[in-house]
Parts: sequence; structure tokens; C-alpha cells
Amino acid sequence: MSAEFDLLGPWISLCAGILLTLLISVIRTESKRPAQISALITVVGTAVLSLGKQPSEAALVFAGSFEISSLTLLVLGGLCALAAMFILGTGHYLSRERIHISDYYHLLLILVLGASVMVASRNLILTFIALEVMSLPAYTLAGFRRNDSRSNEAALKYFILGGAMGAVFLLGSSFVFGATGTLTYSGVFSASKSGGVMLELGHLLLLVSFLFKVAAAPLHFWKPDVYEGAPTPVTGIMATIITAASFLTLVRLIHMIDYGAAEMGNYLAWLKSALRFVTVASLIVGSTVMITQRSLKRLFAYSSITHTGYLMLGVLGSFDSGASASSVLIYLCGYCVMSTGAFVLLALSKSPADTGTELIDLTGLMKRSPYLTGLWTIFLFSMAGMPFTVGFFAKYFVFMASMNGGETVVVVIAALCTVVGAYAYLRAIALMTMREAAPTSGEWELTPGSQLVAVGAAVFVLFLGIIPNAMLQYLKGIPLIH
Amino acid sequence: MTMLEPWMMLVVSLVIFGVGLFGLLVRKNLLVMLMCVELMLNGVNLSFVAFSKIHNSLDGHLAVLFVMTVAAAESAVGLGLVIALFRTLKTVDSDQIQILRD
Repeated sequence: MSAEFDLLGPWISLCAGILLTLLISVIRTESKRPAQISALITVVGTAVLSLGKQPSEAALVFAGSFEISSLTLLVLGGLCALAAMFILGTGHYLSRERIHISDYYHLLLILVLGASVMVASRNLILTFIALEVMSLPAYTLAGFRRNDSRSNEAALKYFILGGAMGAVFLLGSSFVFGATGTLTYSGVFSASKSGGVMLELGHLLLLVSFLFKVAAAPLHFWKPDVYEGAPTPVTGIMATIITAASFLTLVRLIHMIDYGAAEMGNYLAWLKSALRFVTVASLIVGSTVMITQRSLKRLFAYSSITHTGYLMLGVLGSFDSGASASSVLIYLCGYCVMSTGAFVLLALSKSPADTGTELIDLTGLMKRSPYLTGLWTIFLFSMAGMPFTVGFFAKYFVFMASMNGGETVVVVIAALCTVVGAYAYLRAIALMTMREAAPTSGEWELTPGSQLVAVGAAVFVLFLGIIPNAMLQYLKGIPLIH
Repeated sequence: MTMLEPWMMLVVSLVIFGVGLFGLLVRKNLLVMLMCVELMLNGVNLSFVAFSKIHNSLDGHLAVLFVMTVAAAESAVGLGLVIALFRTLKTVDSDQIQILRD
């Protein structure tokens, strides 16, 4: 038992930090600073604890429902590092928007806890609880600008649709339970050899609820609205932490059933073409609608739908073999860092919140702040997948994985969508460098914390874009599924 | 008088889930939509119990306890969000809440 608690150390330290931050925010209600510092120490400490451990093999605790492996520790550490970047980089946003509620920080920590447990879960009920532990703070955070009707609307849309999809996930779990008599992933895996309509239906419902969470087309309709209405740092958290955790869970759910099972052959073939459709739809919808957007947040929403499509390419590539989809992990790693950088920069915009940050706010930024323009350019280049940035290698590996899986047509479509998407990113860069500032262009305000985070993320993006080998070797050694 | 068979409970549970889903799609009042989400969760609860009965296992009963707890937390958050929205927009009609769009 003590060995289990030793293994669980990083999660326990995160829980302790949540309680401490909650306590501080109750005692010191008039100032956000103590809660912010406590949250920052918690996530940095947890990240160090979890990344410091490298177990050679996976251990299952709590009756086989919780997995402690190099992957789950990496996810916990990575999500904590992202949370640290948001806490440090966007603290000024709350002050500028006059959000004087210190609960922001412990809600953020609870979200990270839910996200990391969700990936580590090997039991459908634990997955559901972790999903809700992640989602409930997310709904609340999306509505954190309490007096802004747009923020309220975003929170409520997110809540109603998320709640309904949570119920769909549960119905899927219930069907899987009905077909196999067990709720653990390993039990379902061994029982899936005999197949059955009910198991197939349940599995499909599980996947639908998570395809909704990662906003794969045609289940993407909520994303632009929620992104636009939520406070900018929260949008960033949704784009990185929630997307990463949900996608990894989706991959694990896809591989929950045995791919060697002959009884399930028809279903698996059908599922593969359904996922192929989802991939192509996400890529096309994301990249074409992206170029028509004027609001930067909506642009990034459609951009993240495209990124979901690229991630799905990696999943398609490893679908048959069930081999560890390391390209997905590499893509997620690069995507999270460049998105964090972009959203930290976006939170610097001083445009009034009720109009949102528009593309026009970027015009003439080169004259006003070459420094900020440089940072924007790095992140936008990386999102477009230009060489010498981490975005290039991320795309390269999912394309290769998909090619190896025999998905040539999908890869060709993806390559075309990359070109279309690149137009949207390059147009933003052109607005910054080649145009004069319009009278209506909003101001941007650099703060020390955000500067530190953005420069750090930019260095990471460039460093991995030029010397990726060490990171790639590390990520390739981590199996996504067991 | 016939016994209540597990498959009958299963049918009822799916009907309840369906009513919830249907209500979510057609009703426009946010409070009713919240109730519909709860109805979907309760439908699933019943199906968990039915499957537990079929498999003679306690896992399903356990799941129901967890789902009920989560549903309570979820409705608390949902009502909070509805109140916040009502304060700014003075309406709970989902047709009139359409500020965010392309």
C-alpha cells in the first residue's frame, strides 16, 4: 500500500496544492496574488516531481483502474508545466478585466487534476469522473467574466452540450458494461474477442463523446462560440490542456477493444472509415473557414479544429497495428507549446472585451512593437508548419505515420489543407509587417510575466524545430497504450 | 402477473434517455434543458442497474452512486451559470441568447 502512495506522489502533491490554494483564496479574498503564488508553486512542484520519475514499466493501482507509467507521469508533468505558463503569463489579464476572484487559480488546478487523471484512468467510471472533474471547472472558468453576457453565453453553451455529451459517454459505458460485465479497460479488451452489437454501439458512443470534446468535425460547432466568449487565458487552457488530455483519452478509448478480434472485423473496418471521414472533415472545415474569420479567437478555434484533424492522421496511421502512436504525442507536445505561446500573446491585447480581439488589431504591429511581431511570427509560422519550427516536425511525423498506414489520399488532402491554412497564418503576419496601423487597431501591452513565458515558448518552438532529435527519441520511447 | 425482467428496465431506461435527448433538442427554456440533461443521466443510471442485475455484479450499482454525485455537482454549476446569464440578459430562452455567431 505504501508503495502505491509512493507512486502516486505527484498526484497527491497536486491535490495538497489544490487544498492549500483553496484555503488561501478563502482567507485572502481581497488579493489574488497569494493564491497565484500558491498555485504556481503547486504546479511547478508537481511538474518537477512527475517528470523526475521514470518508471520502467507501468503499474496499475486501485484495483487496476489507475495507471502509473511513463506516459501518465509525462502527461501530468506536461499539463502542470502548461498550467504554470498560463498562471505566470496571463495573471495581468485578470487584473485588466477586473476579475477579482481568487478562485480562478484553484479551479485551474482542479481542471489539471481532472485532465491528468482522465489520461491515467483504466476504468470507465473513473474516466467519467475525471472528465467531469476537468469539465466542471472549465464551464465555470469560461463564464468567469460574470458581467459579460458573451462569457455567460459561452459558458452555458459549453455546459449544456458538454453535459449532454457526458451523458452520451455514460450511456456508452453502460452498453459496454452490459456487453462485457466489466468496466475496466483490460477487462473490456479481453472480453471484446467475442464481439457483439452492444459492445460496438457502446464503444461508438464513447468515441462520439470524446470526438465532441476534441471538436472533430462534424462535432465542432460549439468550439468557435465557446472560444470567442470565454476569457482569453481560459480559451488557451481549453485549446491546450483540455484538448491534449481529451485526445490522449480518445486514443486510449479507440484502442480499448482488441484489434485482432475477428468477430469485430466489420465494425473495425467501418470505424476506420468513419474516423477517416472525421479526419478529412476536420481538416477541410477547419482550414477553409479559418481564412474567412476576422476575430482572432475564432481563427484560433478553427485552427485548433484543423490541428485535431492532423492529430487524427496520426491515429489513422496506427489504427490497424494498435502500435503506440508516438506521432500523436510529438504533435501534441509541439501543438501545446505553440498554442500556449499564441494565447499568452493574445491575452496581451487591450481591445475591449465586448468586441474581442480582431485581425485588424494586428495591423502595423511591426512599427509599434517589433519584439511582439517577432514572437507572433514564430508561433504563427509554427502553426502553419514552416521548417525550423516544431510545427514542421510535428506535421512531418503525423504525415509519415499516416503514409505508413496506407492513407495516401487522406495525406494528400491534409497537405492541401496545410497550404490553405498557411494562407490564414501568413495573412496575419503580412498584416503585422506590411500594413500601417488602422485608427481602430487595438493596443497591446507587454508584461514581464507574459514576456518570460512567450520568449520561453518561442525558444522551445525554435530549438525543437532545429534540433529535434533528443526530444523525439524521448517521446518515441513512451508507449501511448498498454 | 409476470416478473419484472431486466430487459424491461433496459427499455424504460432507454426511453427515459431518449425523452431527455429529445427534450434537449426541442425545448428552448434553459432550465428545462438542464432538467433534460439530468433526465438523460438518470436514464443511464437505470440501465446500469439493469445490466448489474443481468450480470449479477455490483459494478453497475457502484457506477450509479458516482453518477448521482457527479450529476448533483453538475446541476449546481449549471444553475449557477443560468443565474449569471439571467442577470446580464434577463432571459432564459435559448433562442434569444445568440450573441456569439459567425
